[in-house]
Amino acid sequence: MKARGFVLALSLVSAVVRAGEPDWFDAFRGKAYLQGDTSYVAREKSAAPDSPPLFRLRWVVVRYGGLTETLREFWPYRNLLLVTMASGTRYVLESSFGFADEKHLDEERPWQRVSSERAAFEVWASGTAGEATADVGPCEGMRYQVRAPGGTVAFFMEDLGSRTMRATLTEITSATFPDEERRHLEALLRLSFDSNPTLATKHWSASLRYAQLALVVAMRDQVLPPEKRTLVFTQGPDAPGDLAAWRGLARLPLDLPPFPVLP
Amino acid sequence: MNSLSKNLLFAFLAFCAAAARSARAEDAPKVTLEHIVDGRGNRVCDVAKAELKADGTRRSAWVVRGLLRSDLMLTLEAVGGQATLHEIAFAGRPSLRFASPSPGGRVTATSPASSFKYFDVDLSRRTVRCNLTRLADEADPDLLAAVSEYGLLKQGLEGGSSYTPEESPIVALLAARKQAPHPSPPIRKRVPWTEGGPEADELAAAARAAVSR
Repeated sequence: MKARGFVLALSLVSAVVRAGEPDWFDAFRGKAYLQGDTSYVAREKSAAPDSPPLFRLRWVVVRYGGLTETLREFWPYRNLLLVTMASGTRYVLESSFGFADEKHLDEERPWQRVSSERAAFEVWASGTAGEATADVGPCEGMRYQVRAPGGTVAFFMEDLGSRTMRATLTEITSATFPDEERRHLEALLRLSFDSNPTLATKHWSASLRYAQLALVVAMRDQVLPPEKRTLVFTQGPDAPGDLAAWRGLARLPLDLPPFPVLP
Repeated sequence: MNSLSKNLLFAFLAFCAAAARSARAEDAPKVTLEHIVDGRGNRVCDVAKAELKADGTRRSAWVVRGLLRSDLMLTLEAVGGQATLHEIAFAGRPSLRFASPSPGGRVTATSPASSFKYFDVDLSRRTVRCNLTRLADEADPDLLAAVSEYGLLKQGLEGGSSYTPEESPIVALLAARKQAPHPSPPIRKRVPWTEGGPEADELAAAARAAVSR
């Protein structure tokens, strides 16, 4: 009974603490469309083509209507990499851009998210580049906020490689994902991008590589130079199929008609 | 344990307690007082510095009275020349704390609302500056103004560019603000305060209380 009371109290405290935090999925609302959906398998470069894959990837791009039809090119998007490890463990990597009010760019916007079945590491962006000048405060300009069960931190991208940020991110990631999950996420950083599947849009971010980049903040210290990325991916033999199995973990809408062809 | 052993043990413990009390009495904080005056000798503010050393731990407290018409308090606890704990507070309001496990180690800055860890080598980076100013504001919205005023006062003092370990929070917060040095800071001088009096006693008592906390 005591333990149950403790868990209930902890849940209540957690809910109260999180009440003031923005919800990632609030930025993605309205009619959703499926713009891209392709399956891949990943293997070591040296492995035989018929050897069992190390993991399966499903690259999905979801677009959200809401702006005018003429601005369809710039509708909000979720660029998702749905990963299934050989053990069946699943992850969702996401580099996305939600609805942004141009008059309130100081408000936080979703940017990168790495989630497992048990936890999510989110990076939010706020402000705009170029507004920081000598006479404004140190917190002005384009900045980022990490939110994860293992901790939070506000940072500027130019400091990502600093000793301070590396130690902080290692601490947050270690407290968010258990060892096995971190090992899986490290494996995803071994993907080589000799080719980078990209959608035919003006968005430079509509590529598979951009979805995988969701890991660069969460796993900053494990990012490898290109010559050490020894995994390659090839298109999977099967059609992608239904997305129903991912609806919960990736929070996908129920109905996903194809994104209308751009004029 | 027989009764003789018990008595011996009791006597030994009593001796240790008495020795500790005696050591504490002997280690009463040493307090020095000074006025800071302008170029014409007018009083700008007063400073009391109290220091206490015991069992490998050095504690010190500075009270700067009259800075923005209030007290700026700086305290330092250094254990064996390794771990340090600094605190800075203004006008008796909540303090900002800086704890470091060793020189050059990762510093944990803590306000009443949140904390942030950083390395001193990254003090000039915007990430550290932004987080430190946020923590300072969380502790007390006037704290950064008081730190700037103290920085200006230091610039006007002879040899003011060198900061002591007690002033480490000032150095960190000035770096966070990245304020350009004043082109012609007003001249300030230190004058030992030896004449005593109720004001001196009160200031000394404040420093003594801070160092003994």
